[in-house]
Amino acid sequence: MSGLSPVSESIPDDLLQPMLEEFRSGWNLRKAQAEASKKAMAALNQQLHRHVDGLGQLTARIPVDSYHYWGQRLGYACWKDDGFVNDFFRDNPECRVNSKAENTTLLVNGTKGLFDQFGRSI
Amino acid sequence: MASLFERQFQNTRPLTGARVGIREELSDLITNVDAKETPITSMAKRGAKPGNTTFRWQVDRHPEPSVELGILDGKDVDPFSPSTNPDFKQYTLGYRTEVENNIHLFRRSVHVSNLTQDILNIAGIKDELSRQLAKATIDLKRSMEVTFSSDIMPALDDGTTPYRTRCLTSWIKKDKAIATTNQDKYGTQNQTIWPIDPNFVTPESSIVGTGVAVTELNENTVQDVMTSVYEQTGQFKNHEAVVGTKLKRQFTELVYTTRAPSGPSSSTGIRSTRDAASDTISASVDYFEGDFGKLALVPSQFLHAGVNPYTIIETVASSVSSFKLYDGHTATESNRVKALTSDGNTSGTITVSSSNIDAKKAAVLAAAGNALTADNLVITAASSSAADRDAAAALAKYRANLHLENAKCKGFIIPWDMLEVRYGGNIAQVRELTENGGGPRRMMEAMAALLVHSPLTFGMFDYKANNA
Repeated sequence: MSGLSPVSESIPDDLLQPMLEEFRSGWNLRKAQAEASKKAMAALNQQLHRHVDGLGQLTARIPVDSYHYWGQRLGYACWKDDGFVNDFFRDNPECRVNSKAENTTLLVNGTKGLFDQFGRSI
Repeated sequence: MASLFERQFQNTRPLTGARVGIREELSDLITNVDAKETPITSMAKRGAKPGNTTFRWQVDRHPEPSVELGILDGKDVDPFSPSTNPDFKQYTLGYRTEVENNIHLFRRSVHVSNLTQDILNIAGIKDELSRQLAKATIDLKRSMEVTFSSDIMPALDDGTTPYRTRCLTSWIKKDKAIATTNQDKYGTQNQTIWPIDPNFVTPESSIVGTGVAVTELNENTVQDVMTSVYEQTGQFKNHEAVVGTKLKRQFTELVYTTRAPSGPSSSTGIRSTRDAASDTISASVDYFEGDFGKLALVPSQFLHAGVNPYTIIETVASSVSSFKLYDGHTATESNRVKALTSDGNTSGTITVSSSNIDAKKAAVLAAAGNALTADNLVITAASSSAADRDAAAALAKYRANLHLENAKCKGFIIPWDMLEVRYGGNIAQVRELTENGGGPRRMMEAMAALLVHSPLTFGMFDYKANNA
């Protein structure tokens, strides 16, 4: 847990519940905003995105609320875990971005010659 | 009544299990609500309590590898004169060094009058003091975020300057990192400080875009900085970059750029005019998978990165208001903001009235990319009327906001295992101040320090939006 979490330990009890409500209202607002932005993002992600040298392929757009929600809940290392990321995309397929790699691919067919990715002889 | 208060107080301590649960829920909410706004303080490791107000740690590096031409079979190591004998090597002097940092205190105080707290019925607010504390919590955390990403230099409490921690931009930028004194625009005393050994300063090739417009970001510069970071880490690994919103938008434009049909892939392309729904894009974390591993772009609204809000000072002469802008927290002439070429100034003075405010704003905006003049900027009301005074104040604010656009063009590549925020005692604690009859007062205080294990593996996007 990062940030200011232990602040709660020194808040007088009579102020706790109203403060809780204050934070909860903000949290609910952002939850609704995240849902809305996810839908808008889904349409954007359908467009074809090109490969950028040095950066690579844009493979996903994750709503920033979701990113930090899971980061705070499980630790930000979860976003480096392929299993977690695959599960996230399974549940939120709209976050995947339509893009393709542009690195040159050479198919080698034994000694019969070189072919490009479309099977054409080079 | 007094005994009633006392009994109530005691009955709530020690905390019952249920109350502990509520506190944890509150903690979760605090971090969840604002983590998006404060990615650096939220994602950095939470380190151990600093051992002292100034604390040190060691950084180490390996020697450059050398070409070895072989050793004759059976050759002994020469055991004599080890201090001068090249057969013996040492890996400490020149390789391992110490760096240090100081703690930094953050504080917010709130006061609610008796009538406000007990009698006033404000729509939607059950308890004004709680609301103030909730706001102060978020304000404090955001201020810590801005401070930690700034270029503040370390300072020791000498009775005039408080303790200051070396902040991220001062760890990364070479001129700040190797400086031996801390005199800067924030009004620190000219103290002697412990510089970072040049061998451990972030390589200049890991910092791109200094003094360049953000629209110049292209594949080559991205590739350069990623290559430089890779050369320091030597690993294909996941990186996260915390980026301002304008910089992030520029990254997004890259994936919508169509290249010329022939020529190398790194050549400058033709920009498409696709509408990329800017709000949606700025509210997402973008994942790239490429040549140097995965890179996540995490947006932030509270990056400082050396772009400090201007301080606006109003002076009144013969009932006419004038506004001067200062870069920094001290209103000294050396910190005065200069006028821009062709921004409508005459010898640094822009005269504005309520009737021409829009034209003046347009002139300032059009001149934002121009060079600074040698004249100190003064924005003066055309007359002593309240409307003209307000117009001059609005133009001064407009110019200050143009300057802040530069912060949105900055970004940091941060290896999170190399960045720690160390908190002293409770991360932040609320103290009840004495009530002297005017109503309840509370103070929230946090003691924290930024610890960078090694600046070598960091990167920075140092672009700008304009010259304002």
